[in-house]
Amino acid sequence: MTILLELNGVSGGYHKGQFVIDNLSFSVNKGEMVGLIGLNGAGKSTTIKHILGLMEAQKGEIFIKQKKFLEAPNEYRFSYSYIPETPILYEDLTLQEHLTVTAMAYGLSEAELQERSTNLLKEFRMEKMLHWFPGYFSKGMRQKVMIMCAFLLRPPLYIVDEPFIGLDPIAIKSLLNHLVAMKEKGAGILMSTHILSTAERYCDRFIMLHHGKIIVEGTMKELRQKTNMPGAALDDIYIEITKEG
Amino acid sequence: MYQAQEIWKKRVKAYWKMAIRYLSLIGNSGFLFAIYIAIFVGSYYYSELLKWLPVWFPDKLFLALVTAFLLTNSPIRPFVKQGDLVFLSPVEGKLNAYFRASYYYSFFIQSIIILFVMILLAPLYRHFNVAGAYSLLFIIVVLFTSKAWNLLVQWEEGRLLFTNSRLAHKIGRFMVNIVLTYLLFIGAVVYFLIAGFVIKGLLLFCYYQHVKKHHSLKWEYLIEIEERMVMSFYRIANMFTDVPKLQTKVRKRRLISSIPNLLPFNQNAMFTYLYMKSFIRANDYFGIYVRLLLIGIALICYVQFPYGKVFIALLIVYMSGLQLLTLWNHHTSKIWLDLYPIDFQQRKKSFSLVVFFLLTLKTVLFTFFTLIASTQLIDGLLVLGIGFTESYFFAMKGTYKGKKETP
Repeated sequence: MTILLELNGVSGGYHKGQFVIDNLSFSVNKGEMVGLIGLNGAGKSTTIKHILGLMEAQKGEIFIKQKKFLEAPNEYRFSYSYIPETPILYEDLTLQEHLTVTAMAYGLSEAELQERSTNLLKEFRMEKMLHWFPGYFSKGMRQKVMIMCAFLLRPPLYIVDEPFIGLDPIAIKSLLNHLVAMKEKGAGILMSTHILSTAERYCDRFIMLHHGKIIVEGTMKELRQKTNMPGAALDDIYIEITKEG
Repeated sequence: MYQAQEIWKKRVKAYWKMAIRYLSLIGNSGFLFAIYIAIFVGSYYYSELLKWLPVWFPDKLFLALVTAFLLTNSPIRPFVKQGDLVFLSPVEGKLNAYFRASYYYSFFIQSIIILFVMILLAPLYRHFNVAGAYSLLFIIVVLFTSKAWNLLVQWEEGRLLFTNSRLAHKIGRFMVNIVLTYLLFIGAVVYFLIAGFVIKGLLLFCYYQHVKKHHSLKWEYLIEIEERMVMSFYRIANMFTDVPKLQTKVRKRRLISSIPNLLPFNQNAMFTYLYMKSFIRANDYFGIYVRLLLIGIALICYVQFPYGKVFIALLIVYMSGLQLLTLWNHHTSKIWLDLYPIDFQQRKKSFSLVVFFLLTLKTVLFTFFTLIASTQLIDGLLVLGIGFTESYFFAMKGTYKGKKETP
C-alpha cells in the first residue's frame, strides 16, 4: 500500500502555543477514501488548511508523496486538488473561464481541457451556463463550478471539504460517482463531512476529530470494536463518543 | 422614541468615521494633487470658455436643466440596515423622529452640493446676466426651499409599489422643477415663483398625503437606497484606494474581454489572463482607463501653453498608473491564488506586464495625438520618452506590491 498523504504528530493553530489541532497522525493511501469526521469547531478545516500548505504546522510534519511543502511548493500543490466548503469563485469570470484558468494554472493542454470539460459540463448539467457569470448562480451551481474545476485535474490526492451542502440529489450522485472513479484509478481522497450516512457508505476509513484530537479512527468494523457497539451505524458511534462528560 | 434616535446617531457617526478614514486616504494619495492641478488649469480654461461661448448660448436653459436635475434627485439617506427589516420595521410607527433626522441630514448634505454647484456656475450666470436678474443669494435660497420640498415628496414616492410608477412620478417632478428653475433664471416676476411654490404645496398636501395614506413604507426599497448611496461613495473612494466592501459590478464587455483569449495557453500566461479579464470587466477599471484616455486626448488637442501637452499626457499616465496598481488587490482574498502551482514571482511578473502594457499603450496613443496637434516635434518625443519611463516605473512598483511572500 502506497502512502499518499501522511501527517506525523501535527499540531498547529492561529496563535503560538494554542493548538487548534493537537498531535494529529494519520495517513491516506492510494485508492482509499478517508472520512474526516468532527463536530463544528473540531478542527477539520484547520487540518485541511495545514494539508493544503496554507498554514504551517507548529509541531510535526506533513508529507504528500513523501515531500514536504517547503521542499518543493509547486510540486506539492500540483499533487492535490481541493474542493472548498464554501465556493470561492472569481465574480468576473464566466464558468468557461473558470475552467480555462484552472487548466492553465495546472499546465493542461487545450485538448485535455476541451475533452474533460465537455464531459463534466454534461454530467453536472451546466452546459447552458457555460457563459454565465457567478452572480447568476445558485449556491448549488457555485459548488458545481468548484467540483468541475477539481475534477478537471487528475492529481493523486483529492481534498474535499463538506461538499454536499446545496447540491441537488443528482449532483451529489455525480460527485460520489466521480470520487469513486478516481479512487478506483488509484487516487486517494480525504473527505470532511457531516453527512454521516453517506460517509458510512462510501468511505473506507474514518478519522474522528474532537477538540482538535483524534479520538478514534479505523474502518467501520474497527470503530464498532473499539467503541464496543456491534452493529451500530456511524451516526450512533459518532454521537456516543462525542458525548460530553 | 429616544432609543431610535440613539441608533440613528450611532449609525451616522459610524458612517462618517469610515468616510473620513477613506477621505484622508484620498487626501494623502497623489491623485488629489493631480486634481488640484486640474482645478488650477481648469479655472483658466473656464474663463477662456466663457469668452468663447457665442451670445446665443442657451445659458438659462442650461442652468435650469442642471439645477432641476439636482433638485429632482433627492433621496433621503435612510440609514437603515438589512437587519432592520426584522428588528425595526415592527416599530415603524414610532420611527418618525428617526426619519426626520435622516431628512434634515439629507437636506444639509444635498444643500451643500447645490451651493457648490452654484459657486461653480456663478461665473457663467454673471457672464450672461448683467442687469435685471435675481441675485445669486436669492437663487440659492429658492433652490434650498425647493430641495426641502423635493426631499419630502421623493420620500413619499418611495412608498409606491412599482419602479415604473416611481419613475413616472420622478419625471413629473422634474417637469415641475424645471419650470420653476427656468422662471428663476430668466428673472421672471416674483409672482410666478410664488405661484410655483403654491402648486408644489398643493401637490404635497393633497396628492402626496393621499399616497402616504394608501401605501406602506417599503423597507426593502429603503435598504436598497441606503446600499446604493453607500456604494456610490465606495466607488469614488475605490478610484484612489482599494475598498474591500465594494460589491463589484461585473460588466460583460463581450468583444473586448475576448482579447485575453489570444494569450498562449500555459502556466506562465495564466495570471496575465486573469488580470486582463478582471481589468476589462471588474470595478470599472476599464471604464476609468478609457475615460482618462479620452480626457487626455481632448486636452492634448486643446491645451496651447508651452509643454502643456507633455504635462497633460504625463499627468494622465500617472493617474492611470495609480489606479491600475489597485488591481493587484482585486483577487488577494481568493484562496486559489495561493494554491495554484505557480511561483509568487511569476504572479508579480504577470501583474507588472499587464500594468506596463496598458500604460505603454496609453503613452503611445498620447504621443500620436501630440504629434498631430503640436507643431513641435520635441513635444511628441518628450511624451513618448517620459511616458515610457513612467510606465516602466509603475510596472516596477507593481512588482514591489504584496510584500507577503508566500513560499
